[in-house]
Amino acid sequence: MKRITPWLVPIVQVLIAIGFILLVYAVSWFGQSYTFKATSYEPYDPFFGDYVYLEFDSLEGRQDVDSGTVYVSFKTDDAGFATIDRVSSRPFFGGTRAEYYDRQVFITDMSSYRVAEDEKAVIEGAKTFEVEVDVAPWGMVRAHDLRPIEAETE
Amino acid sequence: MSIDKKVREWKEAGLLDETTGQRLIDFEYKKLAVSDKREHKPPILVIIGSILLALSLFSFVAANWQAIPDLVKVSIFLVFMLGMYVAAERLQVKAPRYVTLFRVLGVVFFVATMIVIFTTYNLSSQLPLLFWLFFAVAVLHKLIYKHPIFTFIAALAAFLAVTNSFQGIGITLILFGLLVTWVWFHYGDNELDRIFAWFSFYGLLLTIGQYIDYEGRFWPLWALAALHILFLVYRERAQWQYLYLFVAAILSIGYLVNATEGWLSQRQPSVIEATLLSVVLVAVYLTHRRPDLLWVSLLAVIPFSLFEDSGILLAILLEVVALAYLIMQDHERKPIVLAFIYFLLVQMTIYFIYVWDRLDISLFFLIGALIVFALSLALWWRSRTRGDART
Repeated sequence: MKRITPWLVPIVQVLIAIGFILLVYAVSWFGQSYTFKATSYEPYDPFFGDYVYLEFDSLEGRQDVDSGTVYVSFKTDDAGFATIDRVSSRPFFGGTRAEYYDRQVFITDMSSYRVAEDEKAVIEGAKTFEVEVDVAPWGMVRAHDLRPIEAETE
Repeated sequence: MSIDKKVREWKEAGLLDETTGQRLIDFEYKKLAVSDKREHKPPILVIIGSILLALSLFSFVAANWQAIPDLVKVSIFLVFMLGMYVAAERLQVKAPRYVTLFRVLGVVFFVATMIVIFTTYNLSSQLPLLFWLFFAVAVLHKLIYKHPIFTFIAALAAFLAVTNSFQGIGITLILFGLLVTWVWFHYGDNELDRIFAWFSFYGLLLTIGQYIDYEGRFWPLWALAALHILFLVYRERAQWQYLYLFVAAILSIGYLVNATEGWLSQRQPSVIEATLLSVVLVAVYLTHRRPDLLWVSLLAVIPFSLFEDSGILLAILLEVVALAYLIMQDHERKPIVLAFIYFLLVQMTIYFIYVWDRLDISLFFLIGALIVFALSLALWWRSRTRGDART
């Protein structure tokens, strides 16, 4: 036992690191996938970093809760996009933690998207997107597969 | 070789005879051979070459950082981290001085690994969990490797964990934090460990107030009263027990400021809660009965003094308590420096609160400085006469 003790620390630290990575993949394994419509303030430019900051139309609008920390769950509407299913100030199973203020639900992990290397060329210059978001039963979210939408309105 | 030349020179000058010269040369060569064998220095070009190679490897990795697959990135850091701990164990016998350095580097690489994981997977919502895990790992370092530097790393981690938990913390994290802090408090072999662990307890209790949406102004007092539970288990007299006095002193000044700033006090405290809190504060003193901590139970006055908006009642009370504490410490021949600092702070706070608006600013600071000067002079005179009495 004496000889193993000093190795306990590095082993625990490796397990923590692996645990966090597994946690991220577990969101996709056990979670439900939704498609969100998203816009960014300005066209994506790889020069300014890996992240693009997104706003979601379906998270805007008045909700029937006090502002502050809220919990939300999602459902898919007829057009195939995700909308808010349930909002509550109290935590409930499957609820994602969010902030609600200025008539807007704000989810930290969804509002900034890290652009993968192979997506950069596709989304450069785009402002409106579709994005897949996996929502785990325990409320964690993981956004992936950001795709630009051709701006047909203009 | 220069020694041959020197010996030949000395022989030609007639300073050495033939045999002595030969023995000198033999001796020097033998010494050189031994030192060569012992030092075994790598050639300087190899050193420069390997430094350049390492630098080029680093810049290669850095330049292609974004192109490297995520898992490989994390693995690179994990391998470095493991390398540090392996190096620490290897050096245990050879160079024990560097063991702790490599362990600290191991912590640094663990932090770096977690930064990489959190930025590549965009996990910012899990930050409180990460900080509590980091705190647990730091405590584990302290318990296993027993070096004082890990006490400070654990204290830093605890501070980060507590301050990052005010926004949102769940019940599981609170329980986990309490468990880790208790382990640190109970098994930490150093007085300093217990002091920092005590502060972590207090910080955690404050975040619990946030978690249960406590509305009111008494939570810091409730937390301090709750911490007296530790006396039920840890009965021996120790340095960390003076932290109750320390925090009580800070809280009293904090409440004095809070009571007098009219715009801060949003609501009147409830009478029932104030009564309950006062009873609890006196009751905990009556159960543990430590004469040093009698002054903590005087906090029982604060809940009631908050009913009066101008804060004059509280100011007078604190003034009396600070003066009484100073005189008592002096009377019992205990060190009075801390009591004096508290007394001075109360004077300055009251002075700031009631005089700031009423005086010209330069006059304000002039009179303030004169008060501090006069009080310090009194302390100096007092300690001098005390010293005379003792000798």
